[in-house]
Amino acid sequence: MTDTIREQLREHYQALDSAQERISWNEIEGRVGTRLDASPQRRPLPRRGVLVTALAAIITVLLVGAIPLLVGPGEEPPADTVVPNTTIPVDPSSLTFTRVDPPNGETLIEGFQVGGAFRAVSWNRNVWTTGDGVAWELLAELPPPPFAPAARDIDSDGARLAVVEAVGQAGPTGAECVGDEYALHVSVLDSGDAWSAGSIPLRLDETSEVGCLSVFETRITVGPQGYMVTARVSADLMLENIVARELDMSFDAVSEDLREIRQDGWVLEAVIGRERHTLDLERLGYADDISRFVAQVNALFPVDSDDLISMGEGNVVWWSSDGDTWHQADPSGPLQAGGMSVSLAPLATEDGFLVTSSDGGQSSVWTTRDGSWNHVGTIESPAVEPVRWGRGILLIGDGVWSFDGSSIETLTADVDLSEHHVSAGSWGMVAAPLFPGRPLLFSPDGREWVELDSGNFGDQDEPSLQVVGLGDGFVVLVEQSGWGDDSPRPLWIGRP
Amino acid sequence: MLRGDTASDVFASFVEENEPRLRRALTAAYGSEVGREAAAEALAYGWQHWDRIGAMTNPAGYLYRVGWDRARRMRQRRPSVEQVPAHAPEVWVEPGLTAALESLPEKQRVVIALCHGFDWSMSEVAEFLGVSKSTVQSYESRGMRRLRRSLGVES
Repeated sequence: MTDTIREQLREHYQALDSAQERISWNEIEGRVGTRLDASPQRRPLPRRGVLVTALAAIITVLLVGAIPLLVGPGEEPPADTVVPNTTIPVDPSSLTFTRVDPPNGETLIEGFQVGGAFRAVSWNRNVWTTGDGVAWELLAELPPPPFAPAARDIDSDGARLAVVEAVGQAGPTGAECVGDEYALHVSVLDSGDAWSAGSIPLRLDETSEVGCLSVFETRITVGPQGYMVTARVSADLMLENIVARELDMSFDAVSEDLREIRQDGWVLEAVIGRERHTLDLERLGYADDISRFVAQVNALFPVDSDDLISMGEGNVVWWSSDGDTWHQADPSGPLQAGGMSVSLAPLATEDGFLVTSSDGGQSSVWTTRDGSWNHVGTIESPAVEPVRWGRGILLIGDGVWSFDGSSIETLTADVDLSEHHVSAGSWGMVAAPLFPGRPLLFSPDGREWVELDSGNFGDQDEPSLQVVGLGDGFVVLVEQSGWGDDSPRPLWIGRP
Repeated sequence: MLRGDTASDVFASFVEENEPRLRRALTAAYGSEVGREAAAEALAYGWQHWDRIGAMTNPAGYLYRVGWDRARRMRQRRPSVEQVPAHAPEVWVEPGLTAALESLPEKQRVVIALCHGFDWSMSEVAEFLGVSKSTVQSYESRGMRRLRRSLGVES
């Protein structure tokens, strides 16, 4: 029946699509012309600098116009002035959000909680740090990139912050689609201002005729002996130049996993989509001396055990003690109870992993420390993917659960919290929206939740928000969507 | 158009490749009328700012966000999912499908449409929407579950 629904969906959307007129080049040009004609000072399109200046002026006017709403009429906030703006009552506590100025007026593109501070990277390639959102310190400048600046992804752990730049022969991947040799350049900033850098080559035989190779979802996990970098590498193949049989791959299946765990510790995964001229390659790699990680298809976790575990689709679990020799784990437990999906999450305080197996309705919850399984219980929720959310708190399916290592208890049931999850010290947690316009959801304890409209934070109605923990509070970094994206992004500090 | 031929060619190529993706994604979220209008506005914005947007790592994803922003402003309680129009190619779909799709949260509906309506891979959807693949999997799983429930299909 599911296949029937999918067929119906395809028929439905294909029919709608065929009835819809494509957007032509002439229509696009016409809209640009109309927009310019409608502006108070008509200018020809090629004078983009003038246009940008005009837009910037408009944005500035709008921003200045909005400031009195925040600080009172006729006043422009001086630098580093905290302006109380919004209070969110949450029984028995409350959050107060204050708007602060970004450092040096720079646009912050991404920030992280590092230790007790907030670090952020700006478009100017500066790394700023603050402990309270008011006083900022210029910590470092990003190292010169091999090619055009493109901070693809940033991650942090402890006092370290890493910048990953994926580049190809002609520049950042995604910007150019030429060549077959790429690399992930990784720069790591330690607790001071010293950078160390390394490079991970991405040269895969299977992509020798790649038309465009892009890298995304890069992550860095910091372990006691080094760094582990993961990335999803997507290669668009020019199939007219490649015969499928040469790759020994079939394009008949909806998806077919080809996963190889090799002796050298690299995991190479290829997923072939039906009738798609795309080959997704995932390469999970780690330094030779890293021995304390758990690997999942899309995630790698550091763990406080001497073992490695790898769980892939098809309910195959691999276990290793050294990263070289892999054994299939005890096939009983979640593998037998499996069904549609099996997922795992690290349990930082319990020195092991929580594993869920779901048949699409109920989920069985298990823990493991050494490859053998302990059945915790069964919950009435499909375990899409368990997420560790703060100490002893898990997000599984549509619910929030507490887990003390031996039993699992519902805190919140049937809520849509499939967003970005941030813990904030002892106060609580926040589910930040991945899509613009969605509300932020706050909770002090995982039981009671309160919504805050994201429109409170931006100069536009529905900005995108990045929420980062900062001590017992949160930093909200606002990304203006659409027309106002040239302006510095507002910053908010939320504290209990 | 007075801009250089090279920029025009590059943008035209971009439009050729990405216009259907942008329009289909926004149409899935906001319906044919608003979705198409938002996609056209986003592409116009993209051409105006192509010097900057063209250098981005995921310009199509960025313009989706622009279109999303435009669509949210234009939408005024218009239906997000329509019946297949009469002049469309003859096709039979489950009568309750439109209502079932309309009942889905926007994110789930977009993912369902792209994955199953247009055969995008989950990786493609994730990259386009700027979310993780696991998030897309979550939306797809929840959306299909709700669809099955709405249509009275339990398995």
